[in-house]
Amino acid sequence: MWRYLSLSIFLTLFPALACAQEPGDLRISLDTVWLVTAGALVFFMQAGFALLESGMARSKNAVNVIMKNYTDVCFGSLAFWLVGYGLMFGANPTGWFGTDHFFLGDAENMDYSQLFFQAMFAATAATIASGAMAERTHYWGYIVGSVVTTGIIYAVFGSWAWGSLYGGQGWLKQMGFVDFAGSSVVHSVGAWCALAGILVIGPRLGRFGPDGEPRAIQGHNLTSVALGGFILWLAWFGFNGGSTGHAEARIGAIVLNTHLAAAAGAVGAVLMLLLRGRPVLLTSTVNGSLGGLVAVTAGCATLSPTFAVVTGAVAGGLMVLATRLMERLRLDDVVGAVPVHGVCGAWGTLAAGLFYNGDLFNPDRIAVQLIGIAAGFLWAFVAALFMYLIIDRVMGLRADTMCEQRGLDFSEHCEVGYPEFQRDLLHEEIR
Amino acid sequence: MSISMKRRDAIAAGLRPWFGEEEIATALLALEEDAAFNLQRFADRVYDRLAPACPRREFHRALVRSVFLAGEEGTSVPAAEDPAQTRVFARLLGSYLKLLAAQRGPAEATVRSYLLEKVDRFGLSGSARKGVTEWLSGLAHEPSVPLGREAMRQMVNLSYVLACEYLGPVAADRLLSLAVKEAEGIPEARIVPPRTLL
Repeated sequence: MWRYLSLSIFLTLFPALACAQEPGDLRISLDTVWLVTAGALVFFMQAGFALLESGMARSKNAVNVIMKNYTDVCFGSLAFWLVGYGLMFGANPTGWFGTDHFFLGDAENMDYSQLFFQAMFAATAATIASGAMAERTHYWGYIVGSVVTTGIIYAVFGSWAWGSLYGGQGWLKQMGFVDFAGSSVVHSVGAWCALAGILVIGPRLGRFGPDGEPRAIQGHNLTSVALGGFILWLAWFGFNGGSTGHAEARIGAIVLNTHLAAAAGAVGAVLMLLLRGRPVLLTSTVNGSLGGLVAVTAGCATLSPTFAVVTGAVAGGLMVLATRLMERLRLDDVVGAVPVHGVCGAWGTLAAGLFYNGDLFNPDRIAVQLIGIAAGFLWAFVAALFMYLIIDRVMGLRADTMCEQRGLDFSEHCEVGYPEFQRDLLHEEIR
Repeated sequence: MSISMKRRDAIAAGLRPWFGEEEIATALLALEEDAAFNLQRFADRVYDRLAPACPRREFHRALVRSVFLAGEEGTSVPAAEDPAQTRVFARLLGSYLKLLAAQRGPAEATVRSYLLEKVDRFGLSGSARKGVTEWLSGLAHEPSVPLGREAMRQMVNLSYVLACEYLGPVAADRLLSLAVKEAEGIPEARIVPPRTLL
């Protein structure tokens, strides 16, 4: 197995290395190979999200959830290529948004690698909402929302924190905001959009009783939830490691921090469940590790391993508490996207300032991190709220009760996820 | 005009969006070959033979609408499957309400009275409305007049929504599945599968 893997890596690298004439060319070739490999890993996150989210939904909505995950990356990648990349990374003279590199077609080789890698990030941000809004959202309404999120909402905040690659700097970046791989830029922004979506569409039928008591709606396949969690964990090594933008020595420390925080996140969630006298659920444990991953994303390059563990463990505990808070507020988040990506993302962004290696607990840095967290929430939440309200008014976002009864697999796609096993279909037969 | 002529006209109207006059005439020949008329079987046969440019489901729905639901527009006729459909519906919803009562007694009465309040919304004719009202009030074993399929679906859906509110969606789904199974046990379910009323 390892022999084949080594051979594949060698064959991948060999053409680049053989063609490299100068040390500079070799450097660019290595960077390109690393960035593209990392980008491919980030793309694999879509598979992880698809399995995790569909597993947490009921079987009558499994196809719909998978379809949203599958196609938001398709529509979103095109939107990011057309508009998002330019807005996010184009020359940024004002500090508020990029102004060139739209519809990228005639550029340097490294630009293409960057666009490929960043398009995968954009797709990740957009897909976070699909799980939160699952089981009661019209497919096309969701897709339109996902395109706007990828092309505009995510890209504009990204330009503040990460812009630009082609001159000028985003206003948050100028202040020294630290968000290495996107705890806020990718995850919190995606989650705040999801929160807006949840508010607009409301909870699933019967999710809360007449007195507001939450009713558990179990997912249909916990095996796929666990597999999705493993895939996301693996893909995160590319997500954080690739954010160096170059093949360099510190990648080892970054992926180690990533791994430790994920492990600590799961442990933190389990301990919090035990402390609260709750059963130790698989879904909460998986979400705990994801919370740890989200949290360490901002500081994975600037934290020591010890503080990466602290960041992850706190994130796991916070995830459990935030999930309970969401239920108390009667917010129906099917997969826990807001606690995992929003709350843990905000915590991770703060932790990156608190535990900055060699500059611990610097109040100036912490203040900048807080400004960044607040700016991300205000921009993404308000913009997404307007967007979803408009979509709901114009084309309908909330599926009607008949669709919920029949399941969105049937009402949106005329398909059934498990035709040989689903005996209790609540809709007419598909011919 | 005889019932068979009315039915023929209603079916021709339902086919018109998809076919030209020549194809409609071919389809109506198939109708005459089928002595014991069954709309579902007829729609399948026409769909397979003439392959209209639309999904099978949409085609089927258009025919159902034309035959059963366009009564107000003057083309509706009683078809052979109508009484069977109403019987299956009565069994389906009746079982659902009974199961609901077993789970939580007061919920059943609430659902019945809610449906009675909304009975004007189902687009029923005067006699059908009266029949449904009597049935929901417990004065009749089943609706005395055949109902349109959309009205039946709306009633099942409203009951499902209320069951979700009372018991939660997981229990509501389970009860509806059980009710479907019970309805599948009656002979008419072979003509009109209960799932077509969901």
